[in-house]
Order: sequence, then structure tokens, then C-alpha cells
Amino acid sequence: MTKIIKRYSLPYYLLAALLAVFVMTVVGPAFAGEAAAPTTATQLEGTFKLGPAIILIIILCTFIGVGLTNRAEGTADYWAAGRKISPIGSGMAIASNWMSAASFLGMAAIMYGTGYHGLSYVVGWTGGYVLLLVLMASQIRRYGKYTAADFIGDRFYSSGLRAYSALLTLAISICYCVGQFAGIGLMFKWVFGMPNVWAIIVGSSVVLVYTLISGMLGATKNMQIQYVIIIVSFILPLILLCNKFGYFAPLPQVGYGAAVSDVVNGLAPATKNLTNVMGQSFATVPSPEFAMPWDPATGATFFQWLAICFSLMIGTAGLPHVIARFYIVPNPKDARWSVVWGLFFICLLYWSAPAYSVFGKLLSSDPATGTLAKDAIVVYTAQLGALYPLVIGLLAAGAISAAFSTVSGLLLAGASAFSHDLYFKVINPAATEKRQMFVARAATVTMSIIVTVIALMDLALIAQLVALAFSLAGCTIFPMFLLGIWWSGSNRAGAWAGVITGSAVATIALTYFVCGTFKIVLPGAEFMGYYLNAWYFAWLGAPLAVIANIVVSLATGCDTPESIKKFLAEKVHNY
Amino acid sequence: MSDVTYNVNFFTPKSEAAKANKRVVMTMLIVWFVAVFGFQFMLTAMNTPTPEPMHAVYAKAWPEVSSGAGSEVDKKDLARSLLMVLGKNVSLRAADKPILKSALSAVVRGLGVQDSDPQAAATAIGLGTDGFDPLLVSILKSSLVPVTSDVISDEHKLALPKIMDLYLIHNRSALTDTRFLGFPFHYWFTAQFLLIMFVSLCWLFCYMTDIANVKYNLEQEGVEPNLAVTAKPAENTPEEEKE
Repeated sequence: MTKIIKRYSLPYYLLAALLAVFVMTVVGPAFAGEAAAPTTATQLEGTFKLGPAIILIIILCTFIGVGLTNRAEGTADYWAAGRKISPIGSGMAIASNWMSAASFLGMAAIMYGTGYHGLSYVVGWTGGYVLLLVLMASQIRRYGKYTAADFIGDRFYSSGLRAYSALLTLAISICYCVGQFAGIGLMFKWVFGMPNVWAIIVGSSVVLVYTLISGMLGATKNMQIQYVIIIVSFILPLILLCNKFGYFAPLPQVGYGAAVSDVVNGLAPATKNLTNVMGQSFATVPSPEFAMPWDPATGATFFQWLAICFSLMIGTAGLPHVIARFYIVPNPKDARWSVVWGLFFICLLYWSAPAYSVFGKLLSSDPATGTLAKDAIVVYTAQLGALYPLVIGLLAAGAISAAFSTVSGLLLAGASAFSHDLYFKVINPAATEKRQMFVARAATVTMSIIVTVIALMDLALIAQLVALAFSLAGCTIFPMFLLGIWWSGSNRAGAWAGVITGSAVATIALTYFVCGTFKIVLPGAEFMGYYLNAWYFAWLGAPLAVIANIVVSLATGCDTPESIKKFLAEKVHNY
Repeated sequence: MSDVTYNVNFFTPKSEAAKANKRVVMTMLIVWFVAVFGFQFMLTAMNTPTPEPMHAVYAKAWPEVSSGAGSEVDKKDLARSLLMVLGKNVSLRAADKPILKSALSAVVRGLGVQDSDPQAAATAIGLGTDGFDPLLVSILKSSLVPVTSDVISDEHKLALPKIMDLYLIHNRSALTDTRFLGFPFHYWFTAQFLLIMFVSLCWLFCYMTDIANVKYNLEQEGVEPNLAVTAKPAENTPEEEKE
């Protein structure tokens, strides 16, 4: 069975997608009338939902099954999928790994609340791939390491930097995972009607189990399946919404344009003469603030748009678990093309995401709808649009798949940072492969527990929590990769100066954020909250880190070992 | 070999291949930067604060009503404009809602509706069945709060003009008012075109790199460099041991 799945992987994924469609169209009617139409926002959340639960369980079983049939057989499989993944397969894995709860749920949530400002997340999370490709992808693959810390430790000939980078990787992975666990909790709560605490605990336990079983190889195979589920579950409801509310359905990414204009100009009830599931008109008063740039009503400014966009872009090129994807392809050419495929697959979802916020706006503009949890607006939109319950269930399952695929990649990146970069390379170089695997799995469990505890604190919106991880990566890891690859004059002292500068900026921003969360007012809190916000502090931290790296490298003289320069010139750059 | 031979600097490439790569990378980055950030700068430079039509209705009625000299028509117009703002439900700040609701309820009371009855209030304001009126009736149902006077409090009189300006004046320009594929042009450019451009740039870069690699006989595709050996010198260097 394992061989069959491996050999015929694409048909298998299509089969899984067809099975989901079959369940929705044939089995679905049995559950279609399971609940009375809700009349308030709280009833949308409701209790246990049988149809969505069935879909979710089928999909989770598929993940576990694929994880088992593709389980890691050694550290090379666990960390780098044995370097067996094709560009398209890797592209799907990149996309699935990338499209987290922040993409699936968070972007629409931000746009639903702040309109055009939310597009900074769409542009930031895609534009960074251009940087990653032209500046780093094939060079990273040619350098040929397993992890980001591996590269930094070797390039800057420093065990200390290797260890520090491993700790940064852990911190970034934890920050990133917090948003995902929050998303998983939100969807488990919605599907099973369980309390938020249990929803987060159960969801995180399931993703932990299969990450432990499968490692990167299994996770990557799962990521390809997850991509199919994510994209089908995200676009299918949009097609149905467009069809139902009279917009161009064959291509909802274009069809929702008219809906944006309807929101801006206002849509009178009689124009469509349609209602949401609560019987309220599919209509809105003129709301230009939804789409006009940096509208005062949203409280977001031009500076914030640029700062978020820039921070997310450089964060993209500095995220350890994204960089690690380039180690799993056979050669540099595949590394490059996997970015193109990955970005294309990502954009299929990103082109669609704003549509949920637009339909959400049109379906919930009546104050009688009540206050909806922004992070769940994607699911609420489908629910308010009175879509078929199993389609909504598939949507929720897609959201969970998105979070799962990202979490597995993050946990693996964090675990490999601890086991490979800290334990094996620094603490115990004589460790056997079996011992390393044990440490990696122990690290995975520990990280999951830490993340679960933080996720339960409900600190911010999902997209914002994830943006924090991007800023941290952008002002610490990114400058070291950029200069480490493109300037042999960047030396160990320079790298230390850069990473300390970036870390200092991050520490200041996070201190203000944490104090603000706990109602502790620090001097200049308003100023810092605006210019050095936890979601976008990399706009300042990254340039400062690059400058510090260059200045200190020049000041201390180029002491980069000849062997590294030669390797960079001949093998990494073909000079 | 001297240091100079192996120095790597993006801005001072030595080989023809590296020079070609630099040209491609720089071109890509400039296009990328101008399209993403240049457009946003242009957008903000062209933006002009533009009131919604309802703002004019409010601006005419507010001085009269707030001074206590408002006619019934002024009160109806003010009520209508308040309802229009309350209809921006999702965008409203939590702190603004009570002020808007209280002001609306006071105005409705001033129109002779004593018991916050939505139906009576709708009739008093003159809401019918055309245009946005049915929606405003629905908004009215969740917006009336008990008030003891038909006079808007001094505190709310101070706050209300800022709130109305905040929600009824928007940054607009030719770029936002032009439609493309149904979208406001600036929205389409940012939400759709930039993403198309990113994918295109990436495809073009890979295509050009593949051609350059063949031209300069670089990167024997499918043959992986012996990384385990070549990367080895970077590990266990004397410097690392010293640290």
C-alpha cells in the first residue's frame, strides 16, 4: 500500500478530493436539515455539527494514514525528506506549509475589520517570495545544509552563532505556532462545540501525534494532500457564494470585484432581494472605508501599511521553516522552480481570500447579526450565506488542514534546531542517530506544550501573532542570510553585531507588547506602539541589523576563512 | 590563491555569469519595489479627503439641531445620516456606538416618538420602502436606546462631529474611482495584479537563470555538488574551536 501511495501520489490526492466531494453531494443530504436556522451570532457558533465533524475526521484520518505510510526512517528523512521531492511536489508543500491559519482565516479577518489595510498582509506574504527566489533560494540549496542554523554556524564559523540561531528558530517557530494553535482551537470549537481550552488541547494533540510519526517526509507528503484540501475547500464555497448572490461564479477571484464596488457604493436590499441565513438583507449602506486606502475609520495609516508589508516580505525570506524547504529538493534548479510553483499555488488562495471579507461584510452589515469573531469570518461568511452544511464543514476542515500543515513544518524546524543544531552540533557531537531522533521528538513535544499554553492566553488576532514571528525572523535571520550569501566580507563579529542589534529591537518591541497586554504602561508606550509595533518592528530592526553587520565587519577586518570564501565563490555563486 | 580571488560581493561581480545574474536580480528588484511601494506612494500622493453624499446632509442639519433650532426636516436628515453611520456596523469602534445610538434616540424623541418604538421611529423619520430605507429600518431596530430628553448631551455634541467626519470622509482619487473588472482600480492592482506580477517575475527569473546556466555552462542540472565534502571546511575551523 505504501508503495502504491508513493508511486501514484497525485491520483491518490485527487481520489481524496473526489471522496470529499462525494461525501458532500451524496451522503450530505442526510445531514442537510440537522439544525434550525440561527437567529443570532452566538447561534452560528452553536454546538456539535455532525456533517462538518465527519468531514474533519475523514481528513484527519487521511493525514495520520499518509504520515504512517511515509514515516521518517532516519534523520535525513525526518529533517529534509531524504531530498526526494520534485519541484511541483515541493511547490505544493511550500504552499501548504505556507498557507497557515493566518492565510486561511487571518487575512480575511484583517480585511473584514480594516479593509484595504489588510491587503498589506496579502502583498507582504507573497512579495517576499520574489526576494527569497532572486536572492537566496538556489544559493541556499547549493550551500547544502539541513537547517538555517546549520548555514549560519558554518558560514560564520561560529558554534555560538549556530546555537543562538537555533534558539531564534525555536522562538520564531513558537511565535508562529501560537497563531496556528489558536486557529485550530477556533475551528475545533466551531465543529465540535467544545470549550476553547479543550478545542486547542485536542487539536494540538492530533497535529503533534502525526508530526512525531511522520517527520518531514511524511509531513511533506501530507502537505501535498493538505494543499489539495485547502484550495478546494477555500474556493468551492466562494464559487457557490458568487453563484448564489449573483456575481461571476466561474472565476470568483474576478467575480468578487463587483461585490467590492457594491460595498463601496452601497447595495440596497431591493437590488438583489436576497437574505442571509438569519433572514437579514444581503445589503449594505455605502461603506467606502472598506476599500479606500488608509481610511481614517480603520485607524490604520500609510506608514503602517508599508511597515507591515516590508516586515512580512523580509520575514518571508528569513523564516527558518521556509528556508528549510529548499534543502529537501534534489538540486538548485528544483529549488528555484519550486518557489515559482509554490508561489503560484499560494496565490490561488491569496487571490481569493479578500472575497470572504467582502461577502462577510455584505452578509453581516445589519447590526442585528451581532458581533462575529473576526478570526472565524471565513466560516461565518459561508454559514451566513446559507451554504450547504457539508461545504461549510469542508471549509472548516480546510482551515484546520492549513494550520496542521504549517504547524508540522514549524515543529519540525524547531525540533531540528534543537536536536541537530544545539544538541548534536554543540552539546553532544557524539550522539547516535537514534539519540538525535529521540531528542528531536522530545523537543517537538515540549514546543507543543509551550505553544498550547501561550495560545490559551488569546493575545491577539491570528494574523497579528503570525506577523510577530515574521518580524522576528526578518530582523535576525534574514540579515545573516542576505549578507552571508552575498558578501564574503561579512564576518563572525559582524554577524554577531547584526543579530544582537536585531534581537535588541525585537526585545524592545516585544517588551512593550507584553506590558501593554498586561496593562503595564511603560514610558513612550504610545510612540513605541505605533512605530515599533510587535507586528512590524522589522521595518526598523532589519535595516539596523544589516548596517551593524556591515559596519562591524568592516571595522574588524575580513577574517572570513579562505575555505569559506572559496566555497562561496566556486560552489554557491559559480564566480 | 589570494583573498581577492575568492571575494564575493554582489555589487562587484567578477565573472560574466555573475555580472549577468546581477543585472537580472537588480532589474527584478527594481520592478518589484516600484510596483509594490511606488504605487502605494502614488496612491497616497493622489488621495484627497472626499465626503460621502450623506456627509453633506449631516453637515447641513447638524448646526441647526445641535443649537436647538432644528426643524423637523433637519431632525429627519440628521437621523438618516446617523443611521447611515450606524450601518457601518463592522467598521464602527466600540466607543462610538453608544454616542451614535444615544444621539439618534434623542433626535427620534425630538420627532415625537417617546417610547423608542422602532416602527413609530421609522415612520417619524420618513423611512419608506425604496433604496436603503428598508435596511435603515432594520438598523433602527438595534439602534434605539432609552433616553430621557430630546436634547443631545453636551459631551456627545462635542464628540459627534468628529465621529461623523471619521466615518463619512474617505481618501479617494482617480485611482480609487476608476473601475476595472468591477474592482476599484487601486484595489485590483494591490489585491490581484501585484500577485500576478510576483508569479511572473519568479517565472521569468527561473527561465532566464536556466538560459544563463546553459550559456555559461554552469550548474550541471541533475548533478548535485558534493556538498558533504565541499561544505566540510566550514565546520571545525580553528576559529570555531577558539570560540
